[in-house]
Formats: sequence, structure tokens, C-alpha cells
Amino acid sequence: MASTAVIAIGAIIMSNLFLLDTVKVQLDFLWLGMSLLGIAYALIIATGMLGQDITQGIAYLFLPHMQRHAYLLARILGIIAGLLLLLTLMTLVSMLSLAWGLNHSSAAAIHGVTLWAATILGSVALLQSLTVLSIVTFICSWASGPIEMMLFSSAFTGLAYLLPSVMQAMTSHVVMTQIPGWTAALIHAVDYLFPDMTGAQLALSVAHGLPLPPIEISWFLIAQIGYMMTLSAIGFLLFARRDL
Amino acid sequence: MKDVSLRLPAGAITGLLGSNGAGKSTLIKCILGLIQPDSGSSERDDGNRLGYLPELANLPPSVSAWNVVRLGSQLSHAINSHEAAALLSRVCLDEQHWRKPLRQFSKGMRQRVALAYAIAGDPQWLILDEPMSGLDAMGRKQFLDILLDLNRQGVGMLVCSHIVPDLVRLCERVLLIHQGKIVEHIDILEHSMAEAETLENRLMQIACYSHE
Repeated sequence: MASTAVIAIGAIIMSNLFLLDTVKVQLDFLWLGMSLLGIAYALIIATGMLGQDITQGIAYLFLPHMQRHAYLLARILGIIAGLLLLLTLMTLVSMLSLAWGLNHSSAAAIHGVTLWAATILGSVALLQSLTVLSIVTFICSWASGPIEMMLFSSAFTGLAYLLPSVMQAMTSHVVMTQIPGWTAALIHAVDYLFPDMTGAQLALSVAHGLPLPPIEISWFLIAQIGYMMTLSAIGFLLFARRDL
Repeated sequence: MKDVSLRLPAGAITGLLGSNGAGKSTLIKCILGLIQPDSGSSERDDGNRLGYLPELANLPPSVSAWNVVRLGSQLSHAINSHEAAALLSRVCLDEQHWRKPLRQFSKGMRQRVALAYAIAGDPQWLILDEPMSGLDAMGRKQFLDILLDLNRQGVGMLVCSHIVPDLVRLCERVLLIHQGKIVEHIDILEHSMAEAETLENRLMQIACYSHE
């Protein structure tokens, strides 16, 4: 809770270091804070809880009374409830921070940004965090210890962020025409293994008051929800079969 | 585990004896479905309620004994809150400790809370993995008395331990397990109380022999 206030106040301070586009800077900072907060929650809290449950025998308290999938689902829903609470609070605090910014900026610096921008950023951050949570669910369903779970989940998430720029270069027309067909197919397959983390592109449009193309939003939603459902389903299947 | 086949008679206390790494906990986890065997299966009669006391009963340290047992009763729907309170008395936990967080509890007290949780579902079967390890002599005696009392009320048990005297006092038969195989069935009831010490020595010899 304290971190949400720190981020909101930090956004005001940072934006006031600039003379122009103060609202854009403020929204960029708020987006960074929301995004990092949601991902850190999903990575640290979820990995910690699931890791403890599995390796320290806390799961043994529940499993004689319920099916494994029910137990894992309840755990994940509990973590999502916490995440929702955190990001809702962050969004409300961001709206307050943004309201202050809008009141203290010139019309030229506002660029058509409204208070709803904070809500859209909060929703995108929530989707990204849920995607990271699906990665954590998948990793924790087979990894054996908390350190392994944290390491693999962080590496997977890190790759999801870093890989698009590399893949963009590797899948360029120049490269594709010079490599065998099976290599090209392999490169594309690797690309599909990682989630679409282009939420930052949408966030950039929001921060700059640009219109959001419905097709881009729809594709982002479908890709994000489809990926998290698929990865979570694999995680649940693996968890049902793993040794505890 | 290899070629393990056993049937646990209802209402009886069966012991699993073996050295460290013999496969006792693995067998228990296979029975509970916590480990998936490569082949084979474990079956229990329909409607049989099961309670489990794991060796590492890591109860959440910030939670009170009262809330742990209430959670157990809510999960199993077998008993109500009043009966949950009675459970804590049954495992000899003073009422003054019921609302304290478990981090303030000794190992023996935590073990009693874990047992109360295991029996909160009003089980017909209790599976206990090293239930008395780490307890002092008084704690072990109290724990044994609680288990025997439960058994008199019809609760069957599978008790895994490497403490021979505890198994001799508690069990009707003991299965000796070595390198993942059940190597001997010993019927304790066939021996009179006078022979208990002899039997204990025999079990010790087998355990030592198996260990070598």
C-alpha cells in the first residue's frame, strides 16, 4: 500500500522536473510503477506462496480434503484477489495523482489525456500481471524448490520482455530469405512460446493521448487471455501428476 | 517401491517400520496419492474419510491453534465449531494456548495441533508419518494415549516410524520395510505383553539387520 503512494508521489515529482509534456511523463512513470508492482507481486508473492506450499508441506494440510486442481485453483484465485486489490488501489491513487497533474498543467501539456487513462493503464497492468501469474503457475507446477521456481519464473518473464526485439530482427525479411525453411519455422515457433508483452505499446498510446485502434486492443486481449489460459491449463495438468 | 502389496484392516493400527530412506514416507504418499506410482494403485472403501499427519507438519506460524482446527472442520464439513473446540481439549492443549499464534508453540504443542487438524474431519482412517519424532518422553506418552483413545473409538491407523518401542505399544501388526520392499509382517497381537520386550528386541534386530 505504501508503494502505491510512493509511486504516485514519485510520478508528480518526476513530471515536475520537465517543463513540457508533464502529463505524459507522469503517465509514463505511473505505468512503470503499476507494471512493476503487478509483475513483482505475481513473481514474488505467488512464487513464494506456491513454493512454500509445495516444498514445506503446507499443501498436505489441504490435499486430503480436496482435489489437487481445486486446491491449486483456490490458491491462484486467492493470489488474483490480492493482485486485484493492489492494482485497484494503485489505479485509484494514480487517478488522484493524475488529477493533480491535470490541474497543474497547461492545456498544451495535457494532450487530451483524461483521468480514465489511469484506469486503462491499470487494466493493461492487470492483464500483464495475470500473464506473469500464468507463467508462475506453469513453472511451479513442476519445479521442485522455491529458488528454482523463482529463478525459472523470472527468467521466463525476462525472456518474454527481451525476446520480441531479438525476434523482430531474426524474423525480418532479409534474414528469412537467407535461411532454410525449417530454421525459419523453428524461429517462429520460439516466438510463439512466449507471451505477447506489448502492453507497453498500448500504454504509450494512452500516455500520449493517441486513439487506441480497436483491432489492436482486441488482438492484445485475445493474445493475452489465450496465452494465460493455455499456460495455466498446462500447469494444472502437470500439477495433477507431480509428486508432492 | 517394488512389489508392495498390502491391505489395511479397518479399525486396526498397522505400523510401518524401517530405517531412514527405506521407503516408509514414499509408501504413505503413494497411498495418499501425493506421489503417483509408475504402476499399481491404492484403493479405499467408498466414503472412508482420511486424516493425515505429515512428518513435516508445517502449520502456518501466524495462525492460532483454534483457527487451524476450525479450518480443518470447515474443509471437511464433518464437525462444527463446538466440536472443533473439543478437539483441542482432546489433544491435551490447554485452553489458554488456543488463541496464540503457533510460532509461540513448542514442537510437541504444534504436533498436537497438527493431530487435532488431522482428526477434525472425523476420519475413519488416520495416516501418521513419524508422529512422535522430536517429542520428549512425556509428550510421546501423551501422544500415544491420544492415538490409542482414538483407536478405541474405531479409528484405524497406519503409523510410520523408526521408533520401535512406540510401534510395539501402539500397533497390532508391524510391516518391516527395507529398500522399498515389505520384507516382513509381524503380528504384535500374537505376542503376550510379557514378550513385548523380546519382540521389541527382535524388531530392533531386524531393523539393524536391514539397515546394514
